[in-house]
Amino acid sequence: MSVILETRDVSCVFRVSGGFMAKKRSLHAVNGVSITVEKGSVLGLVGESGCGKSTMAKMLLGLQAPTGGAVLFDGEPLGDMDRLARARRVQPIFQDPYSSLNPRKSIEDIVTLPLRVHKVGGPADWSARAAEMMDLVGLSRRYLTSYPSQLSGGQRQRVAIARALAMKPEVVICDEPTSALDVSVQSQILNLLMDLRQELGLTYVLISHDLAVVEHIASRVAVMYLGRIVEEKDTETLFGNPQHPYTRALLASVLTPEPGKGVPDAQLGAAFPNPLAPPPGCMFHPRCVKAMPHCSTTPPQPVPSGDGHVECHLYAPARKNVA
Amino acid sequence: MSALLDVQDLTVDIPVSDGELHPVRGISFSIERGETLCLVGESGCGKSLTSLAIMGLLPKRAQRTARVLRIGDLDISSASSREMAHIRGNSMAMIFQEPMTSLNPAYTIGNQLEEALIRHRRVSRAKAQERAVYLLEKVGITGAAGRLRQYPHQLSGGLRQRVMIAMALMCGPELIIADEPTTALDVTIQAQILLLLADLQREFHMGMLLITHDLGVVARVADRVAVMYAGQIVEQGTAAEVFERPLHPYTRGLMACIPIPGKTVRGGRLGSIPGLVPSLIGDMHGCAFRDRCAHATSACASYEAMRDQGDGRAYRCVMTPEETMAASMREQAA
Repeated sequence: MSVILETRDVSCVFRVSGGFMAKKRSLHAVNGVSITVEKGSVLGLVGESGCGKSTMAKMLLGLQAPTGGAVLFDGEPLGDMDRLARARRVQPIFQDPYSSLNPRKSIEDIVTLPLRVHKVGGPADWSARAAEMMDLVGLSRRYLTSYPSQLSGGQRQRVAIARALAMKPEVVICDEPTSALDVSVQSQILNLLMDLRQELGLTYVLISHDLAVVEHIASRVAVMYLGRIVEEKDTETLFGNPQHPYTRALLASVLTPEPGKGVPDAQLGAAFPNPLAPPPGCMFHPRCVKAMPHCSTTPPQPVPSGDGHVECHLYAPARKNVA
Repeated sequence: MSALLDVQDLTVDIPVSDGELHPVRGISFSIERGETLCLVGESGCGKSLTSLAIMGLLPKRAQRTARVLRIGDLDISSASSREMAHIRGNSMAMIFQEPMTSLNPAYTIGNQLEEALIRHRRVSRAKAQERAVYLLEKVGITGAAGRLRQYPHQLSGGLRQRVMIAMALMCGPELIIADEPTTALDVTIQAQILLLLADLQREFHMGMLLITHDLGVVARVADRVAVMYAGQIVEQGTAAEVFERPLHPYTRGLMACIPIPGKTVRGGRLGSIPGLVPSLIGDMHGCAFRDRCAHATSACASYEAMRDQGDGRAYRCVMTPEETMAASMREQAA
């Protein structure tokens, strides 16, 4: 399979105000991330809030220029592409279908806006395409004249999906696509996303904090912590045999609906560190149950693991020789 | 021993432009000391209004009626607003979903923590401060004394929710009502907060009403579960019973919707519940779920009684337990 989307050592540093009269400080939202997304696959991106997942999403969409490294779409740097050309190939679906649809536009206007922006066809084609998109996402055509406020959350998310797919993009970046929805609606949207992927041969990058959802639909998973990918491999291996202590803690925190098991204690202790003053060495060491003395001084290097990598001193080759 | 919280036939009616909205339609449950009851359901099912009705915090135009509404020896249904102000925060306290918006940004943490105790118990500020520090430490906040001078914006989401919990505990309430206490938090923090709530509940022997839409949370913390749909409880029982042998088609529908690692086939289709929640405006008869139910028959249009199975196990469906088990087998085969 061919790689459609790739980041090479991509970074994004924000300069944030340090307070009145204070020097500006650097916030490394994304700090040297290399990922590859194969055509037709689903890459799940997981991590706690503040780990840089949404900045990654913005960079993959070309909405945020990386401050280092490159994002490549089909081998071509995303930054070199024309804005419209980029939008034809990569599209987003956002979390909140309440705020991502213009309340003053009819559903038809919302779904056909991409066609008008890209100057594809004329009004007659737009109507036909809008009707076609409604069928595709399983919404009745009578909603074309409705306004977002007249639709339920699940229906709005279907409209957002229809809009994203109007220009037949190749890659869709889904940023928490079902987090704002009820469980019964969430399952419908997930089923729809999976059907559309098969039908249209789409590639997804799925950003979610819901690990059960990621495990269900992703083919590969990347775990992010403070701007780094600490573990990345195929879904089955990652969930079956998590290597990085952070991945383990994250998976242990998931509350599966099994009564009698009680609430797990992931022993993560201290809260998420301040990204403005990340800990030295391995950034996870203050919360890590397996931290060793050199974890607080030396940043770990990526080590091949499974068909991906893990970034942890526990698996460093030198340590293996000692053990 | 009588139950700590007793709610019988609680209804909430709200007049709206095109008739009367019935968001809570005859809810009955009770909670013992030391017990956690989870009220689970989707948005609009009336779970949050149920909690607000118990706390006496309904919007002004909403009408509340109840045959019994009692906490300990105190009758909430007839309490005046002055008496209610005494019960709130004192006998029962509430933890809301959004720790960002439910703390006052203009006051320090200390101020907000001490207020309830000074108001209800007329203790000195020094005494109140002492208790605030004690509770902040209890909820796992380090450097508690210094935190008292901080403002909500200086704390992370997880810390704010811990402050909310400490605030709820200030007067030593007998009942905690937690409305989606962990929904806005990361999974790692969620687990920590739920563990903390369970520990505190055990230590102070409180009853807890936990409102959530997350079946994972329900399974892990509930002693008993009440599933709500369209303003009614449609199924009730211990967590183990409800999860292992759900008797109402809606409960089964909900459970089929979530991917369960190891049980659902990865990448396979998830279950879904067709249709939409019925409008709760105007008179309603029969089973509210019948339009979305695969097993609905003409009898459903008039049936809405709760089938009591004993030991607090009950469900609201025309099908007998045997019929419902057979239906569940058919669902699994499909």
